[in-house]
Amino acid sequence: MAVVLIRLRWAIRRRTISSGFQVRGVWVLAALFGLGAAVLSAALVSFARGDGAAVMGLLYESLLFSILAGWVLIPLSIPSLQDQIVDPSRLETYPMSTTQKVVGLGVGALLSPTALFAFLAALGPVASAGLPVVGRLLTPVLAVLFAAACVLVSRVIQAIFAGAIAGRRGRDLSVLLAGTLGLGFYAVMQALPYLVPADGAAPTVSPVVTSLVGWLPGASVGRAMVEMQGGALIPAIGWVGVSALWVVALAAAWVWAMSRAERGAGRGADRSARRARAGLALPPLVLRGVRSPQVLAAASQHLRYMRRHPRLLQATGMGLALGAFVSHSFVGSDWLATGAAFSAAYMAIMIGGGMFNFDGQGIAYLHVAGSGLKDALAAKQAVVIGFAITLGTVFAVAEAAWRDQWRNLLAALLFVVGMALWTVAASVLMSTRYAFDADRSSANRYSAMGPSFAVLGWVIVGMGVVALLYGLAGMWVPRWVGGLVFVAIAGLLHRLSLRRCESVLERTPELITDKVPAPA
Amino acid sequence: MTTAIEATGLYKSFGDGTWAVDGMNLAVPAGSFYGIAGPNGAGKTTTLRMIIGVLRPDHGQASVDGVEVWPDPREAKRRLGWVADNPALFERLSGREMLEYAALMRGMDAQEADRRATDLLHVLDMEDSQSKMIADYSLGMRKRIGLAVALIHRPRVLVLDEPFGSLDPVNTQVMEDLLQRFRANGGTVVFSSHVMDVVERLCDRVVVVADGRARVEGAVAEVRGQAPTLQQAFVDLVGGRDLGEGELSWL
Repeated sequence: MAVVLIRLRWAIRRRTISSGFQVRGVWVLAALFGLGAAVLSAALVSFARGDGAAVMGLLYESLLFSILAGWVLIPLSIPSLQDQIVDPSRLETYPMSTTQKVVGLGVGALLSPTALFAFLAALGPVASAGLPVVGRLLTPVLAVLFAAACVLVSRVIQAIFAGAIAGRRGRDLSVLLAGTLGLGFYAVMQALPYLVPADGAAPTVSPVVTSLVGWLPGASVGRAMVEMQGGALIPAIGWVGVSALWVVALAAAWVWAMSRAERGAGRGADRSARRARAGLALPPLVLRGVRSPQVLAAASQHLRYMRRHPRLLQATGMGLALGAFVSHSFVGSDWLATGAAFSAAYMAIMIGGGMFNFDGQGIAYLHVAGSGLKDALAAKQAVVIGFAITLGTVFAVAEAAWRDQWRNLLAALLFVVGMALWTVAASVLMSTRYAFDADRSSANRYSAMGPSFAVLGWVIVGMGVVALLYGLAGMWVPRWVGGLVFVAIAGLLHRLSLRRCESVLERTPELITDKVPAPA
Repeated sequence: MTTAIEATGLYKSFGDGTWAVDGMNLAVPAGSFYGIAGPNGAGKTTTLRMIIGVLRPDHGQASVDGVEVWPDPREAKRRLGWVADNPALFERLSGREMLEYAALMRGMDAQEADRRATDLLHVLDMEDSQSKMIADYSLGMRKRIGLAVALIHRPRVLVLDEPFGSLDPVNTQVMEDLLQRFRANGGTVVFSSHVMDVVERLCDRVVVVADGRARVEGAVAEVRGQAPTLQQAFVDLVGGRDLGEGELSWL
């Protein structure tokens, strides 16, 4: 029966690969990224000798562990990307033992682009300099063990949390948790340069850290490779054994989690009761003055979703935290406006790239209700602009206070407004033409990747215009004049783009409704 | 006779060479309780989706309350309420918020939106769950809130797709009463179902649809004819299937 599952998986994969350019593109991308990771692995292992052995070895082991951690985080944060081509729950009624299911599903899952990436990343050291022949021969074995560990750890997490993730609250929590871990990972990466001694001396690593990291799943593969690079064949074979043991342990954990699910454990009820309130419950306080009922409704819904939809909340959090981090580096000695403008653009991209992507079935309601999509677009983009300007303003004031650049604050605020309009001019086009349902896996998600890069390009062009106007204005006139010019240009482009999209949505709402379909 | 819904020669194909709706003609009298019955895959939902203006027909025309639906369905949508089998709603709004959203999107002021939402939540016995997110509702609760959303703008015509599935007997009774009251106040109710006893109990008129066409249309008693029940008449009409003597003999 396990062989039947593997053949089923292979048949599905063969059909999807031959079915479309986008699916083939994902395989090609996985292979390219995998080759990139392989080159990095080969370089790290090549230098894991002599004085650099400890640091380079630790970096290589951390790289492999990070890849494995990605296999844990991504299925939790984006359930629609979970690789459940053969869903274990659909096999419950078939006469198979849990072990047969785990073997069949596990080996079958190795036939995926993500597993290809993991395999290639671990295969890289086969080309590293100075590695003994035995090491080169053992590398493919280690790569297979690494890919298997990645696949299995992902399946174990999914199986353990399947009950919780099936409920809305569990899903929301997992997305937020993954977002927080992602931010934590980013913060650690930012902190790494501070670990290097300022005097240029070779960095040292505590032996305790080195020995502990090697025992982690995935990292043990790296440790085996580093030991082989150092010529310690016996310890290396020991670490190969540890890696194999991890695979066995993870497979056993999967068997246990699946058996537990079959016994019906871990399925709690989802209870919720909230206090009823008087008056209109929908509009948040900040929108109470809006006069148009349609704009009030759509803007309120979008604002509520920014707090309630975990993916949108995650995007908002990323926009705030990473936007501030990244924009900080754009603020030079006299360049407050560029940093502030970038923070506004970053937020607008994060929350405005797909304004209809988080509405799910609500889109079908809007379609039934008549001209709702046009009103919804107008309201949603106003919310995005409002958020972007707010973040940009807070950022500009904080940076002005920190760097004593109050003289540039007015110009910075104008560039913030202009950049929010400039970015949203492209975002509304993107949202209208390339909508997809963020909660479901669909081909539309892939078709939005190219245009996303186009929007990024548009923002880079905008930043160029900001820098040009800010710099030129500083030579002849007060800098805020440059800001006014930019607001005028961006405002005009935004108006043209919004009108165009509104009219397109009025004529052909199917642009959105076909891509975010109603439930069957 | 004034018609609430009229469909003339509706055709729809989904590109597979077959017609999901193959020349449908319908005339629903205003103020009636009208049933559309048919087996699975007969084209009931596709017909309704063309009538409510969310699916463009390949040929033919539909009108609602005297307003042509296509090419611009917006005016017709103002006169319609639609309750799908599994109502499409904003899942992360609460029931009350969804009702207010629907009311505001239909152009009502805040006071009126609040009043109607409160009334509907009370009648549908959803006051205790009004602040809960729709994502956490059962299918029965979704149907009730879907009905409230469809009624909040006081449409002239209410169209429902399989409205009584997944409702318990108490809520089925509440929904039937509500629909009867809507009809008594001048509204027209059109619903599709393949549960024949519901159609027989509630409807004045019924059309039986099979293979994308209207097979027979008329008052319920006319359609039933000499058959003991409407279900039997339906099976006779669309063709029942008895198991042969030798079939599944191993079972």
